[in-house]
Amino acid sequence: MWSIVFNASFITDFMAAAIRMTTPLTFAGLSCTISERSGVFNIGAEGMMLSGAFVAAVGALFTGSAWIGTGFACIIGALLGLLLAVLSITLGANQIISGVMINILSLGLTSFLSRIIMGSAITQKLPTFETWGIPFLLKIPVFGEIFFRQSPLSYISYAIAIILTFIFFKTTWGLSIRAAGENPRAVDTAGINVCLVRYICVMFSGIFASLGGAFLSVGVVRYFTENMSAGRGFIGLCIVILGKWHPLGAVLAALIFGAVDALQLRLQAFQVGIPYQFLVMLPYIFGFIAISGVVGRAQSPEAVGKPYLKES
Amino acid sequence: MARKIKMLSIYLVAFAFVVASVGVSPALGARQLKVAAVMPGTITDGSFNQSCYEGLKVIEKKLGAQIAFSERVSQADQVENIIDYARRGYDLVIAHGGEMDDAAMKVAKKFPKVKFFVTNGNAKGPNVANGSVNPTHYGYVCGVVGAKMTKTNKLACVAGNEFALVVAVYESFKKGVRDYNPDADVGMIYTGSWDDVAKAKEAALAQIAIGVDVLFPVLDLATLGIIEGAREEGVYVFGFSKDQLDAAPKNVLCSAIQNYSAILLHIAKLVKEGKFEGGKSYALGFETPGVTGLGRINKIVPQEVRDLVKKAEGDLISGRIEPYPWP
Repeated sequence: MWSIVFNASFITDFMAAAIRMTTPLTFAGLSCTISERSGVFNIGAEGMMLSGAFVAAVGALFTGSAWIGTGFACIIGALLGLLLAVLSITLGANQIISGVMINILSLGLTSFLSRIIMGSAITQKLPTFETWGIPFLLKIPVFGEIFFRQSPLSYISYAIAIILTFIFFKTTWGLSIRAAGENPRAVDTAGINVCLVRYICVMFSGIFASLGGAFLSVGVVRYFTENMSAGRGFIGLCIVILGKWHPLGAVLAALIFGAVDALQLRLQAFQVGIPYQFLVMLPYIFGFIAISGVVGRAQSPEAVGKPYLKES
Repeated sequence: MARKIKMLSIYLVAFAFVVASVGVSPALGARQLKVAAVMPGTITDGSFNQSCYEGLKVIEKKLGAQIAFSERVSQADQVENIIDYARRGYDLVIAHGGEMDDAAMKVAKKFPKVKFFVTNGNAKGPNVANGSVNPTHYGYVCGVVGAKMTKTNKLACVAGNEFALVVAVYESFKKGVRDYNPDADVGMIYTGSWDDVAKAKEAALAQIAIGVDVLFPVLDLATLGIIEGAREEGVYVFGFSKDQLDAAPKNVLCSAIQNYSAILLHIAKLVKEGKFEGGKSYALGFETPGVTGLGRINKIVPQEVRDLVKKAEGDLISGRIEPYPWP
């Protein structure tokens, strides 16, 4: 067994799998990061992801292009984000309950519509993304094959993380977003529309979550199946804490989850004799340990979860 | 007076019917069979519940039975639904799903003349039986095919969680492989989810990375993830539950078919003929036509392997081979 483990091709394969399993989690983490930074919990990330997976599959099925499908997924993500924003920001509904509602709505609607539109999953032959090898960088020994032969959506997730980091910490927009999550009254006093800032952030949150879903349906498997997001949107909520509300932190946290999950599948393949129940929950144990303070105390945005009312 | 005689004759005829029906029971004679089913899910789910509905339709057509069903019955409403059919005089009430064990047992005590059948359950009683597609049959035969098609001598199963049925499938598959290829090794990965296709695909890729070239999924919707992983890496895979050759025509060897509608037809026939045995666990396999099988076998599977499959099926039917104790 050990001779296989310390083999270069095993390590390459393991790391490539880790990154594949990380990508939807990264999107979920970024989705929750941007909304919570602006002061809104996005419990609905799971449902937005599922809807994204469905719409991307339908779009790809009818247009023959995974890219156009993904574009449709972004639109549905933005719309669901808008729904969450209307409920929780304008109407001041409980953010947790609004999010849960979106999850239930998405699960029911996508299951129902997929039966009508796509019939049995077996007959779908969706176009998918081919992996992109990045020239020059691919030539780096070991690392080249691991990091630079991935699905285009994986690169997009990294790009979003870097852009978000820049926006959050280097621009005045970012200052407004962070302030809307920490002290909305101060933002309002400075003449910036708190609601507008939150609307935009929650809509982008929906877009990121639906991109994660698109990665699942047209990036990993060529099918849409009912409830295929399988709880990844909820892990996003954990990733935010682990990543300390920082976009790059979210990428790292997602990578931990993805890598541990890829590792446990390989441990099972090697038949190491550890009960599978323990291996399956390994990623969550890691998440639990991390959240419980090993990575240092995490501070959530002060005003997250509270609707902003001018009068009060 | 004439009217009174007429009424009296009606009463007499009615009385005769009641006596006759009691006398004729348990065999139903000329009376129409009445079969009802209570299902946990929707009849359009494309798998477990849909096969129950299809089973009812076949029973209606072939046995001329009167049928009725309730779908999406939640745990809380099980007893109410089952008792309703029993009260309305149905001969056979099917509780479709092991989760209805308790409800069926509870109602059965109050209606000794009605027969109850729990699909995939454990319920037993004087008028209650349970039954399933024999997992050792399809597991073993797929093992035989896998044993002859592997080039690396490494095969593997992928399932959601460990429970009796999964273990029976896995052990039978392993036995089939070992009987026909003693050098081969059979691994197992549990993903923790029956429907997470993306994770199932990763589990398949993890197996393929260590040299596995035949995969056997024991999953629900996530089966498609295993097939997709096999297609991408160019290894062999089995379909599960339905004929899935079309999902990857170059990679799917054959499928472990489980047809619950054939089971229900078989049970309804037994009830009609008065041969239904309470307290029995019916495990139906190749000996009952239409219950299980391999579906369409891929043309890449050579004739000698198909002959071995026929032989293995014969061994299972005759009881010469019992891959794993079931039920």
